[in-house]
Amino acid sequence: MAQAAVNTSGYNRYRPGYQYGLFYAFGLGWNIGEEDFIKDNTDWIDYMKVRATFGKTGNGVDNAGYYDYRATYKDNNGGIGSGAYLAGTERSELRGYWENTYLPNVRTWEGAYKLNIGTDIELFRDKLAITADFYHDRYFDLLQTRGKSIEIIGIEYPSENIGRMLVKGAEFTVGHRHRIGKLGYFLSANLSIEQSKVDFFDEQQQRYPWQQLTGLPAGVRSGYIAEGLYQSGEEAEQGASTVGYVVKPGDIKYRDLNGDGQINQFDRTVISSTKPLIYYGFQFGFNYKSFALTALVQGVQNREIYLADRAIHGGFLGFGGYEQAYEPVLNRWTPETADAATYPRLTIGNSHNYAESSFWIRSGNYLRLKNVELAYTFQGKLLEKTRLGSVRLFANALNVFTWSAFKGQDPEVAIGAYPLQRVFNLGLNVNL
Amino acid sequence: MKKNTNTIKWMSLPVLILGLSITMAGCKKDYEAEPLENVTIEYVFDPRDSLGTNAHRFLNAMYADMFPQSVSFNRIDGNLLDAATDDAMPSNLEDNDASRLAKGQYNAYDRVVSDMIWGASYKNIRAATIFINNIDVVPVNDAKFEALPNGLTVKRTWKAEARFLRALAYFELLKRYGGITLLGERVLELGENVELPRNTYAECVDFIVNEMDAIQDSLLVYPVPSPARNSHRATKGSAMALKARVLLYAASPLFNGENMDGANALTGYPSFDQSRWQRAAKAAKNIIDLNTYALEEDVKQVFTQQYNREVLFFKQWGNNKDIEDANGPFGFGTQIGGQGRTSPTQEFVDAFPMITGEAIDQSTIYDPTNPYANRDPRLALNVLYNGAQWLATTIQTFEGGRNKPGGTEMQTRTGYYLRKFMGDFENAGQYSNVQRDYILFRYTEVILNYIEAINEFDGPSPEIYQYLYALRKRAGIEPGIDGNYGVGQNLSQSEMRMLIRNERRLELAFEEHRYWDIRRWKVAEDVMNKPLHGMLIRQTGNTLIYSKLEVSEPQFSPAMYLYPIPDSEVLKNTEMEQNPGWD
Repeated sequence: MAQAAVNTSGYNRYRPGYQYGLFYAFGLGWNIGEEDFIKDNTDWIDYMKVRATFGKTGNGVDNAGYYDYRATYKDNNGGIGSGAYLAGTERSELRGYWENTYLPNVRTWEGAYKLNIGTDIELFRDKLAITADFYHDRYFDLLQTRGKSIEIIGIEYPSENIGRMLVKGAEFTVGHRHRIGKLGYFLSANLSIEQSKVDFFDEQQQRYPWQQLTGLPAGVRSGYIAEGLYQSGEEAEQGASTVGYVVKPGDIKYRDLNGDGQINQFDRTVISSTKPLIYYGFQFGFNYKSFALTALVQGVQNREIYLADRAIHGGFLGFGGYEQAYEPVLNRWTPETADAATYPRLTIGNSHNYAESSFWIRSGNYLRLKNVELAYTFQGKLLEKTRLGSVRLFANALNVFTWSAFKGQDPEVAIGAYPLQRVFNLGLNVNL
Repeated sequence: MKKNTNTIKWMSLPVLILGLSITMAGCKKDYEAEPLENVTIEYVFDPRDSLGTNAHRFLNAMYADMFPQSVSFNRIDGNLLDAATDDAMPSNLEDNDASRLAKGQYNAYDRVVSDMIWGASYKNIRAATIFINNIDVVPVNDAKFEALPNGLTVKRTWKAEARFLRALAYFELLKRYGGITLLGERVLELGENVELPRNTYAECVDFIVNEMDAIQDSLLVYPVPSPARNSHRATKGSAMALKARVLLYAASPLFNGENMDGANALTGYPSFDQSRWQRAAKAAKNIIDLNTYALEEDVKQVFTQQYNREVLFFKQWGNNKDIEDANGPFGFGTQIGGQGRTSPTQEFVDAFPMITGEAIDQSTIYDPTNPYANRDPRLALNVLYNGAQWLATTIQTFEGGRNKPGGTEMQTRTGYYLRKFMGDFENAGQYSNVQRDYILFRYTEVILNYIEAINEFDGPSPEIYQYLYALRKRAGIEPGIDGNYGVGQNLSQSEMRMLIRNERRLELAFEEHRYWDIRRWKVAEDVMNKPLHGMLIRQTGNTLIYSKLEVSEPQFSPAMYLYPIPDSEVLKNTEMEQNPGWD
C-alpha cells in the first residue's frame, strides 16, 4: 500500500513573498499477514502489518500575527490609565501615539519532518493484540525571539523562524482477551515514552558550560543546586551566599559551581530531570457467571514537581509574613530539629532561600488505582417474574489508592486546585 | 427552447460585461491588502497635516513615558527610593526592592527592576529620535496655534522638547550605569548591528550638555504662555537645570578624581580636573541669573501648588491623596487611611539643627529627654514624630501608642513617619485631595548645586553664606544677634562642604537626591555600611523615655556605586562592557 499527498497553503498575514508553504506526506504499509509465507506456514498469526509515514507539516495560521510585517503605530483612545499625558495646570487629557510593540518581522510557516513507524499484530485467534509506534519528529523554523535581542534597540524584537527541535518517542499497547468456560477476562497494558531535544534556539555563548541549555530537552528548569541546609554557624560562615545576604544556620546551602565564593547567575544550571517522561497504565477485568470486575491503574514516571508556592507546599507563611501557617511548617529548621528538618528556617521574605533551586524540586511520580468496579447482574427466573428488563447491582470506587512520591499535593492536579476526591458508589441499575 | 436561450445569451452579453466590471471595481475598492487601521509612519508624521495632530500626539506619548513611568514617589516596590538611603527605611518587614537596594541584594542577573531601568530608557530614546528625524516633514502652520513669544515656531519647540526628553532619558541611564551607548540620530532596525559599545562617561556628559546648549533657546520660557494648557512642557529653565545637574554630577568625586575603577573611562573621568566644578557652578549660576525662578516662601507649597516659582520641570501627577494613603501614619483606622510605609531614621532626624541653626551636638539647648523641642522647623515639615500635631490630634509613636501599637500590621519601625509632600492636615479631620506634581527639577536644587560647586572650586566665599542664610531664613531658623542663622563663620572648605551637604540633605529630602548624592560624593561606603537607628520611646506615667534603637543594617560594597548592566545585555553584545565588580 502506498499513499501520497501534497498541499500548499498560503496566508496573507505574512509578508508578501513569505506567504506560502509547501507540505507533503506519504505512507507505506505492508500487510505481511496476508503474504503466503505467513499464511502457509503459521496458523497463529491472524494479522500483521507494518507501516511507515513520513511528512512535512506546517504550522502557520495561529502564530502569523496580524499583518505585523510592517512598522505600524498605535494611539490610545484617551481615558484614565490609557497612557495619555495631561496638559498644563488644568490637566486636560492629551492623546498619545506610539510605535507598535514589535519591530516588523520577516516571518513564515513553522515546519516539521515527521516520521512514524508502527506495527499492528494480532495473534492466537485474536487473543493477543499488539500495537507499537515509534516516532521521530524534527521541528524547524520554530518561531522564537533571536538570541541577540539587545535592548538598546529600544523596541521589542519579533519572533522569527529560528528554533529546531527533535521530539521522539514510542507507544506500546498489549492486550489479551480470553474465555475459559464461564470465566472471561481481559488484560491490557500501555506504555508511552517521549523525549525532546532542543537542537537550536540561538543561545548565546554562556561563560560556563553548565549554563548552556542547547541540546537538552525542551522546558528544563535552571537554578541553583541545593545541598541541604546549613547546620552550624561555622559552616554558614564559610558558605557561599547570594549577593548581599548573610547565610545563617537553617538556610539553604547552594553549590558554588564556579568556586568564586558567591552564588549568582554563573552557578545556575539545569536542576530538573532530563529523563524522558513515561506514562503507563493497566486495565483488566473478568466476569464469572453474573459477576464482573474491572479496574484501571495508571502511573507516571520521571515527572517532577516544583514547589513554587511555598505557602501551601511548605506550610510557610504567605508573603506578607503574617498569614496562616500550614502544617508542614513544623518541618522547618530549628537548632533542635536540625537533623529532621525538610524546610529552611522561618523568615519573613528571604531572597536567598526562595531562589529557584533544586531544594524545591520533588519527584512527581505516582501510581494510582484510578477506578475499580464490581458488578452483579441478576439473571434467571427471579428476574423473569419481576418483568423487568435487567437489574444490575454494582459498587465502584474512584481514586481508591494512590502511591505518590510527594505527599503535599494530589499528583494529578495543579497546586492550589481542588484535589481529586476518592469516591465510592453503590448502585442498582434497573431497566424496565 | 433553443431559440429562447440564444436570445437571452445575445441580449445579456453587454449587461454581463458591465456587471462584471462593476464587481471588479467594487472589489478593488473594498478589498484591503493590508488593514487600514494599522497606520504607518506617514500617517503619524503626515506631510499634509498643518496641525500636526498625530505628530503632536507622538510627543505627548513621550511625555507620558518619561521617567518615572508610573508617577509615584512610592515607586520602589511601594517605597520611596530614599528608603534605600540613610534617611529612611521601608516599614514593611518583607523582602522588598528598597531594602534590596539598601543591602546590595542584587547582581547583574537578579536586578532590582523598579529602579534598574535600562530597556525602558532606550525605548524613550528611540521614540524621541523617531520624532526628531520625522517631524520636519509635517507642515505645522503656526497661524493655527497660539502665538509664541521670542520668534519661536511650534515645530521648533516640539523638536527641542523631544531632544530634552531624550537627553533626560540618557541622564537617567548615566547616573545609574556610568557611560552608556549613545545612539545619536540612529533608529535601529532588525537587520542592523545592535552590538554597540558603551560610550565613555565624558562623551555622555558632553552629549547631554551640547544638546541642552543647542536647544535651550528653542524652548518656551518660564512662565509659559497659557500655563493652563502648557505648564507641563519643557522650558529653557528645564534644559539649563538638566545641564547644571549633569555637570554637578560629572564634577563630583565619584566621576572626577575618585573614579571607582582607576582610569576606566566608562565609569568616570580618568583623571581629576578642578575646572569641572567651575563649569558646574557656571551652569547653575546661569539659571539664577535668569531671575525668573525664586524660592517659595512657604516651602510646603512647592509640593501642593501647581506651577509655583520653584518648579523648573515636573512630571504631571494629579489631584489625589496618594502620598497620604501610602505614607501617612498608621493607626488612624481604615476610614482615614495611611499605610505608614516610610520610616525616617534617627540619623535623618539628628541631621536637623536647632532653631538657632546650630547642630544638635554643638547646641546648649538640645535636650535628649525632649529631643524635638526647639528644632529647625524643617524637621516638622519632613517628619511626623511623637507629639507632633496631625489630623487634629497628636502623633503617638511611643510603644503601644496609637501610631505604633505593635502587633503584626505595617507601622513605623523607627518611631517616625513621613510628613513631606503631604497637604496641611495638621488640623484636618481626614485626608483630602492635594494638587501634586512629580517635581524633577526645582530652584532650591539649583542654588544648592551652585554653592556646592563654587565651594569646591573657589572655597567658602561670602556668596555661599548669603545663599545659606536665604535658605535658612525661609526654613524659619532664627537669624540670631549676628544674623548668621547659626552658620559658623570662617569655615574651612571642608567644613563648608559638610554644611552644604547637610543642608542639601535636609532641603531635598525624599526627592530622590540623597540616594545619588551619597554615591557621587563617594560616601555611601561609609554611611551605608553601619546600622541605622530609630527612636524607642517608652511611656511611664507622664514621662517619656527615649532610647536609640538599631533598626536596619544596610550594606554597601564599592561595586554598588554603579548599577550592573543587565547580564543579558552583556551576554548578547560582545561590545558591551560590564561595570566593575559585577561580572
